[in-house]
Amino acid sequence: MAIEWLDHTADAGFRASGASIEIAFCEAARALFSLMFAVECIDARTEFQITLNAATLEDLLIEWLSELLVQKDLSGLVFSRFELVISGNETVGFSASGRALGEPLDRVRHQPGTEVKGISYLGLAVSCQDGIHTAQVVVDV
Amino acid sequence: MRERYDLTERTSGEWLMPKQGNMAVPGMIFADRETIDRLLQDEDCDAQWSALSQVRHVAELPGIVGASIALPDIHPGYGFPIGGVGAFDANTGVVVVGGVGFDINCGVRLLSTPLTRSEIAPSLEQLGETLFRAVPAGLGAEGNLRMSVADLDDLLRLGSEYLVARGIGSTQDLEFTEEAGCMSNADPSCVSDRAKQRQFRQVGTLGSGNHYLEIQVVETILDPQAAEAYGLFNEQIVLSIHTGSRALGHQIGQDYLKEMAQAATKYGLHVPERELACAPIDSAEGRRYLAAMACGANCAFANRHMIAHLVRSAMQHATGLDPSNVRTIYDIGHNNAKFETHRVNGQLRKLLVHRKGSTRAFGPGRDEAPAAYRAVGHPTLVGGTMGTASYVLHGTDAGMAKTFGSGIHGAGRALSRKKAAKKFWGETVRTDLLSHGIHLWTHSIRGVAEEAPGAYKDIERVVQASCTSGITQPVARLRPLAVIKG
Repeated sequence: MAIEWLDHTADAGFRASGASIEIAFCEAARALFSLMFAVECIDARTEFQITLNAATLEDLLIEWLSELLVQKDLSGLVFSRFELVISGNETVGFSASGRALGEPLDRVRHQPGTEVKGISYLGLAVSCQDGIHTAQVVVDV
Repeated sequence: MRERYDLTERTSGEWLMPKQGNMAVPGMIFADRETIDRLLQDEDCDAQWSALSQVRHVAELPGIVGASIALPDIHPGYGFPIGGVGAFDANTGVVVVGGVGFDINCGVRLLSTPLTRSEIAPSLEQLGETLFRAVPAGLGAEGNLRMSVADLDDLLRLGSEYLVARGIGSTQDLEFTEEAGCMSNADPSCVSDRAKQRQFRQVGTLGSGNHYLEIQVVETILDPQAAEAYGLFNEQIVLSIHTGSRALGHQIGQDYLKEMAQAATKYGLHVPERELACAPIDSAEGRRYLAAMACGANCAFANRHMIAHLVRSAMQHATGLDPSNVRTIYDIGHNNAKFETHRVNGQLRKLLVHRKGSTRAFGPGRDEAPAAYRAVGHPTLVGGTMGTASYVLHGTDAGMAKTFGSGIHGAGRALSRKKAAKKFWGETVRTDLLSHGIHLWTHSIRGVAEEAPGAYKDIERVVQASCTSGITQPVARLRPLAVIKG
């Protein structure tokens, strides 16, 4: 996993990176679920479709991660694999469509850890340098 | 590169951050020198986020009054620092979602029993086991209360009162809960359906992370008069419940962060960082957030109330103690914003006081405290770690003048969760605790490593700093005997 954990004492921050913006976002989602569960123990056998819109890529990252938190509670599913296509630009805004794959929560097999309460704007950044896309966020745990 | 903060120690343990740049008021930090040195070191290392810059940013917000305040458990948060207090003029100030956070009205309820340590000793393990099974805890746990949409709206409007009307708990609980367990400006129509849908299965659940249920013993009485008023005595068994507004509060926070960002732009407000997105208190957006936040606060009161009910049943099952003998000493939140009247430069002013990781700690004589406690001051409940003491303190007149009647809420983390998980091993933490006579039940041994006592600052120093500056005074020291974690 292309994740760098950031040192925030009260909460948890991470920087996810990949060769495309989509990979960076999907890695960020996996980092989010790895804070809460043993993601390697989650079978990607059920899918949940997601479509999102936001004015900026930073806002899209917040929408993406917070939507996954919501669906965890509403569907009872936990996720380990993510697929996403992002389109748009700064002028018209951005949209994303894709799916999260996982299975119903198993409180033994998935080894629950600490719940993520929300996705904050602190340190929020989406960038691209030398062909590497990164998505950085701090979440409240 | 950040600006170096030129902090000056005005009196022992009180540090002034002078006004500079866009600051509307100075910063005031109540902490010992070691804490200040560590905060300054963060600045020197150009840490990605620092609590001092968060103090400064809060001082830049419109309508802030007096100072941007940080208490001895200060550490970096998002928006406000943890241990941060910001008071805003009710007419010209702003309401800040980041001054409350995602876990609205997270707090502590302390329950008393007539039992002593020696009386509980034979049944301690059975009681711990019964509590562990009775109180839903950990990620994905569901509460026992089934409710309709209308029921949930009533709970958000009425808080703990809703449960008392259904025969859960008693009016004694309400009398000894901050706000009597109900913030009256709650309006469920300001809460999204999504927030409500997330909450249906979470009423009466403890959660995870730093939330806990502990059986504690009153190890030391530090102020006999206040302890007597609060109903505390040496060697007494008490129970602490630390939890908040669960998914409902989390979703309100997430929803309104977005709405406030738009509002800040609409009203042309100076927002030093995005997490401090805000709206005028006297605006449609500001009022809507406060009405939703009150729903979150009521949800948290009701959540702790419901767990207290489960604790009473478990106590009866394990020890035969009648539930009426398990009384609420106090229930107080540490993530909220409240309208309060304070004397500022000799004049009474109505303020919206945000406390992020800070509790009310009103001095003697305030109407907001239960009548039985009014002579000694408002109790504040300071949570320790699994292996260290918790404290009951009381507010003071000095605190009213210096911190808008605000006190510390806990030890404060010293290590990030990732660092703690690398440094500690959950099973070793459990063994260490047991060697000190502390039993642990948990749904997540991995969470135990993250919450290891060594990941937190020394609560004794934090309490000492708070009491040295006079903003609170100690009443009792509580020691954990059994810990239930999510």
